Formats: sequence, structure tokens, C-alpha cells
Amino acid sequence: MVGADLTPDYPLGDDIPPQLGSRLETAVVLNLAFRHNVGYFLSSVGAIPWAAMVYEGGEEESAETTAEYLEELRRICDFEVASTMSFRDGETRERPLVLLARA
Amino acid sequence: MPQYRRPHWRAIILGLALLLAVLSIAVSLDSRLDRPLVVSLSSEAVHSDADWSRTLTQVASDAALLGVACAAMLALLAARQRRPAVLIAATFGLTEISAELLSMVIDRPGPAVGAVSAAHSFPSDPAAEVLAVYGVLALLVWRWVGVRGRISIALGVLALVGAVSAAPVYRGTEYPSDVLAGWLTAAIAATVAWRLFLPARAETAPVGFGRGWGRLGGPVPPGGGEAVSLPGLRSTLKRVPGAVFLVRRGRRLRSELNAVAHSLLARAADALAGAQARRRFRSQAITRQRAQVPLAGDLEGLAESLERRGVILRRSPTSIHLSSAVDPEVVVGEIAGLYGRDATFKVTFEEGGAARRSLLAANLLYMRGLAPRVYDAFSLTGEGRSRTAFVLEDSFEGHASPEQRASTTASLNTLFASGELAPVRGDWRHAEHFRPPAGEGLDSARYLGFENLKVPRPRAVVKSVLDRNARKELHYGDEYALKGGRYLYQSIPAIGATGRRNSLRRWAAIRSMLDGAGIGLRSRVVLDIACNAGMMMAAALSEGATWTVGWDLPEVAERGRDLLLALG
Repeated sequence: MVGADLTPDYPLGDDIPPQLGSRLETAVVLNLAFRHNVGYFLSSVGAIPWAAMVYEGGEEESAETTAEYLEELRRICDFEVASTMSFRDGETRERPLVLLARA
Repeated sequence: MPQYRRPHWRAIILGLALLLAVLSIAVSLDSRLDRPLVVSLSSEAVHSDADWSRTLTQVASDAALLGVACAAMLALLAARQRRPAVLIAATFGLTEISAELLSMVIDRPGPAVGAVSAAHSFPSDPAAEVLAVYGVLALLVWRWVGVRGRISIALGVLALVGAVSAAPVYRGTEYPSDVLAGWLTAAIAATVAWRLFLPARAETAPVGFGRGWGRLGGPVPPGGGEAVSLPGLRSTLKRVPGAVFLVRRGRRLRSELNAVAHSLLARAADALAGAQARRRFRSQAITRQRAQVPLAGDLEGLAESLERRGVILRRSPTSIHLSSAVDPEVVVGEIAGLYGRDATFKVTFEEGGAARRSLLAANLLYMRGLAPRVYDAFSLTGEGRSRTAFVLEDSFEGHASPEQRASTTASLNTLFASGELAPVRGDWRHAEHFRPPAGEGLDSARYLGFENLKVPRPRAVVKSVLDRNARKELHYGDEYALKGGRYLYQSIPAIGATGRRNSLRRWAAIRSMLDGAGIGLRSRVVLDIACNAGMMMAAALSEGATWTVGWDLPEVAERGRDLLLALG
């Protein structure tokens, strides 16, 4: 677990052990409840050759907002939306959950 | 056009309330404070039984005042002036309620100089009620009349209120201070009601009945006033002194109770999810890996087999250490490539639960600085047998001095004494338990024989990690007094610690989505951006992910690391 101030240009790749390099192409990225809190995606997400990303939005995030955020992410890396759902857990309200497959 | 100035509501109300408070305290300290004044004023009335005072008292009777108030309200409603009508009712009601409450608190009997006095004379009901009704009526028509009209109204109301209020004092049934308190009570009630229902605004008020409260009284006649709607309940309540404070406190309490209720529900849901689901978070999955060497026989046989293949190793009573100087792929296969150059391997004859037990002990020792970090654990299989291989940080830093060794031993003894750690078998002080593979014949200051130890109460270790500020660092933003201050963002299912997020349900949603797309986690790398306590990483590891990397703020990551280590 890496302690870091996740600024928009924070280089995630530098923290990943080099021996994992070949396995990153099948990696799953969890991008959970992050974008709406900080206001951006990390640009270095695009530099990691992940296979799937799980995007979780904010409470009661509208479909339009989610689409807007994902377009923002698309400028960083190309992907396809594999599936979407909304769910709630604990003390939170409904949230969108989107599975992205790297194109 | 007359200017309608914005009064200093708060100052007026607080000033009046302060005066009333001072007066109340004074009469509480000496209920006969102004009795001499009553005696001197009422002496004539007592002897003459003045009828005029009785008449004035009847003018201020409840029935009379109610009749005047209702007539005024009906007239206003007929003119579509709803809010002024409500203002009259509210002022009268507030005055009655306030006077009743105050009389209960002060409990001051009348002076009983002449006529029969009231049991509770403070504040004076007639004084309060007459001022409330006629005073508000005067204020309502104030803007519709010119200077002469205002003077007439002011004098008329003063005379009426003064006379009606003075009558009980003259008859010896109330004190002057009761009258003053009645006026103050009515003034406060009227100001609050006015603030509530006729919000002031620095605006020009059109003259003319039907326009005076264009902003407040509903539809505005064509050509008159500005077309505005009635203020909503929220904006109206905001004008009541103290209402914002009370509403905020109320919301806070609601939020607190909500959080507690959610915690109870989440706890119940976690309990229903069953112990099996909880155990999945207790430790990472021990994945299976085919051994490259024969595993049959005992530890000695395995060591000899490896040595015949040229593998440099060192034997301890319960394990075999493979030196990082050799290629570990010879023994554990390609999985060895997952770990860095600083990794060494330790093969034990433990399996399943015993391996998890050792992992918890090793992590506890690492957290206390007494042992190297365990990167991973996996099961080596072959020839129908399985052994557990631990991947360790190669931490040998040279020969330990007697002092260093004594310090480590003392720390271990402390852990044993506290019950956090317990030996499984044999003598844990055996020198071999301190010897790393690369330091042939040399002792390390750190303890490597963790397979000989166990953590009797693993939940207690997790809880102690949480109690060392982790609850604060791993918090969700709000602080809840009823939940002990800040509380966890992610729940920790292994110990039943609730959080804002239910980790089990959250992972279940993620997992169902991944399953739906045919994405399994076994042998995958999982990267968790803003991982908080790392419960999603723990879930991924428990489902067979090979490696996880998570990021969060430094203080959060530090606590999350300890938590994951404590969870195994």
C-alpha cells in the first residue's frame, strides 16, 4: 500500500514493482469513488496497460455525469463500457458502477 | 411613499428578552418588590370599588380581545391579506403561550391588597393580551395612514393599553412589574411573529389597502406592487431567532441517529452473511503452485533432495530456507519471478490453517520490528503432498550483537506475556530460529522462526491496530458523537467493525460485475486507486489475486498497511 498525494499527474507506474510488468496487461484497476471526490482522473492510468477497470461514481451520480466523467477518462485512455449497474451499500445512497474494458 | 425600514430584529428581540429576564429574576428574588407601590395606588380603589377599572378589565377580557382579533383577521382575509391575518393570530397565540409558561416558571401570587388576586400574576395577562392585539393592529395600519393618523393611532393605543394594564394594579390584583412583564412578553411575541410572517425588506411599500403586503399577501392586484410569491417554510423559519441553530442541531442529531441505525443494520447484514464470508477477509488466499522438486518424505529428505540439485539452503528445526543467491525457480517454479531480488523463500511442512496461523504471527512480528516482512505465502504441491512456501524479505543485516539479540528476545517475551503471541511447540529461543539463509552460522537480531508461533487472539490484534488512531485516519469525513467520533469508511468484516461502506456488499457488487464479464481474479494484479483501509485489496487477494497495489494518503496507507497485515 503506497502513501501518496494523488495529484492529477501522479505517476502510479513508479510504485508498481517492476517484476509485475508483464502481468499488468491483465490487471484490474479499481477506480472507486475517486473522481467525484478529487475532481480528476490520474493521467498515469493511461500509461498502465490494464485489462479492466471498475469505475464507481458518487452517491446519486446521474447517468449524464457518469458519461461526462467517462468521456474525460477516454481522453486519457481508450476503453469500452462492458457493463453498468447501480448499487448501494452501507450508509451510502445509490451509486453507479461501470466496468470498463481496455480497447 | 413611506419607507419600510429593515428593523434590527435580533437586537430588538434580545433586548426585550434581556429586560424580561432581569425583571423575572428580580421578582423571583423578592416577590413583593413593588408591593408598596400597589398599596399606595390601590388604596382609593379598595375603598371606592371603582367601576371604571372593572370596565377596563372587561375591555381586555379574553372574549373581547378574541372578538377584536377575529374581526380584524376576517377583514384582512377578505382583502386577501393572509399573512397579516396570520400575524395577528400568531401574536395572540405566542403571547398566550409565553405568558402561561412564564407564570409557571415565576409562580408569583398577586399582591392581594384589595380585590381577590390571581394565583399567578406575573406576567399580567390583560397587559400582555391588550398590547398584543391592539399593538399589532396599530402596526398593521401604521403604513396606510399619514402622520396625523399615526399620532392618533399611537395615542389611542397607548391610552387603551395603559388604562387596561393599569386597572388591575389600581384594583390591587397585580403588581406594576407584572404589567411591565406582560408588555415585554407581548412585545417579544409580536416581534417574533412579525419577523416570522411579515419579513421586512428595504423596499418601498405601495400605499393603499391591498398593496401594502403585495410581497406577502398572495396575488398582487394588477398594476400594484411586485409579483412575488409567498416565502417558503424554510426562509420563514430562518427568520426566527435561534431557529437556524436548532435546525442545524436537529439535522446533526438526525444524522447521528441515522448513522447509528445504519451501523446496526450493517452489523446485522454482516452477521447474516455468515462466518464464511467473514473468513474470506481474514487472510489472503494461499494459492497453489506446482513444486519443481519432490515433496515426498520428511523435511530432512526434502533438504537432501534439494542439496543434491545444488540448491544452497539452511535447515531450521521446522523449515528450510532457500538462499536468495540461488534461482528459486528451481524449487518453486515461475512464480518466483513475481518477487523482487530481495525475496528469499522458506519452505515449511505446514498446510492450510497452519500456514495462515504462521502468516498472522509473522505479520505481528514484522509490525513490531521483530521479524522480516512476509511478502506472500503459497502452497507447493507435488506427488500428492503439499508444503507451504513463504516469501520473505531478505533482511539479514549482519551479525546481531548480544544486546540486540537480548532486546529482540525481551520484546518477544513481552508479546508472550501479554498473550498476543504464543509458541506452538519446542523451544522458540533455539538459535536456528534467528538464522537467515545467507548468514550461515550467524545470528540475526530478527526472528525468523515464525512458523513456531501463533496469534491466539487475531481479532484482538486487528482491534488494537484500529484503536491506535486507525479509526481516525481511516475515517469518513463526518464525525459522529454517538459513534465515538470519526468512524471507518470501509467496514472491517473480519472483526465486525462497521463503516460508512459495507465492504462485503461493495465487493459483492464489484465481483458480480467482473463475473458477468468473465473476469476472474486468480493470478491477476489488482490496482486500487484511493484504497482507504484496503478492504477491496484484501477481498481481491482472498479470491486469488497474485498481487495488489493500493494508493491513498500517507497516513491512510500507513494504517491500512497495518490493518492488512493484522488481517493476514
